[in-house]
Amino acid sequence: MKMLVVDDSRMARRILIGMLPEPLREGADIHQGVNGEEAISLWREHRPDLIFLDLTMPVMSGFDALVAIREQDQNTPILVVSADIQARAVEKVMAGGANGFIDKSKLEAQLHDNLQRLGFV
Amino acid sequence: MQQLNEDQTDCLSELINVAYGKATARLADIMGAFATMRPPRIAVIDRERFRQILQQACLAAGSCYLARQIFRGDVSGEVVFLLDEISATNITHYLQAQLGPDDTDQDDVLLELGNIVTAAMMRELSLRMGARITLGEPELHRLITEPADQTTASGAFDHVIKVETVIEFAEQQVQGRIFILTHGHCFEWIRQALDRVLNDLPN
Repeated sequence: MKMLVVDDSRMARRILIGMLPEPLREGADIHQGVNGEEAISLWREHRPDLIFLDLTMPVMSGFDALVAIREQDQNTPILVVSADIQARAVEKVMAGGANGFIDKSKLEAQLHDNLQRLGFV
Repeated sequence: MQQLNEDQTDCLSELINVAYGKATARLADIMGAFATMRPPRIAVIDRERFRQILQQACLAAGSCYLARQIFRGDVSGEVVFLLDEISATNITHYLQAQLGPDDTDQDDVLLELGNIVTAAMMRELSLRMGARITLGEPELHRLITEPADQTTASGAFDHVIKVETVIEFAEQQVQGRIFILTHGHCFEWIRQALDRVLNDLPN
């Protein structure tokens, strides 16, 4: 199992990875990036089975990375994890091809729900 | 002056990012517009640097608006939302166009917006850090060139957490800065709260 976690905050990545269910995390190959550009290059290099993507990042936003990845890959599940919880932000990422939206302030519950819905747990 | 270590800074940045997201969402609801968020940049500065920033902001823009709100409880201090004149005018015009200009003069609009931002931010931040706080009445001041002493209680506080970001509403940039001013012993409480959050992180 290969995963890609992209967030400009080291702490946010650490929290997310720590909250992954143990069976999913153990033995997983987890790659980390800090902006949208890195998300795209890490996706090309590793072809992960699951991608977690923050929205508000320097250099290139998570939304732009989502669109760029979706142009070439319609299958890999992408979960957007963001503090930007405006209704239109959620609509925009879902229309952009995300498989789910996780509100950072409700990370634990929504992470579990989304992983379950996508069949990862 | 006390500082935060790297882990504490990362932790506070992420907590503020989440809190700022809530504040922006509240603002966007009220404005009826989508806001493009940028990652907030965090720094701990001293009182003198805070005064310099206010001065520079006023000199650069001609004048600034400062919405302030006192908070008390496990931690106490003052939270300040600073907007330059252009941002204040842009946001007021935008909101007046949405709501109609009759009952909304610029000071009313800015006071309410400042209150929304600071209250939403402080409520979420205190919740995340396990702090009980109550917020006082918001106040609005217009600063021209040289900030007057009475416009902030900065003299009473020796630690300032600076949160800097840009929010774009309908292609209009609103450059807002938030400052959380507090005393040394409350800052120490914040450091310990951040350590508790860090210790509670899953391994």
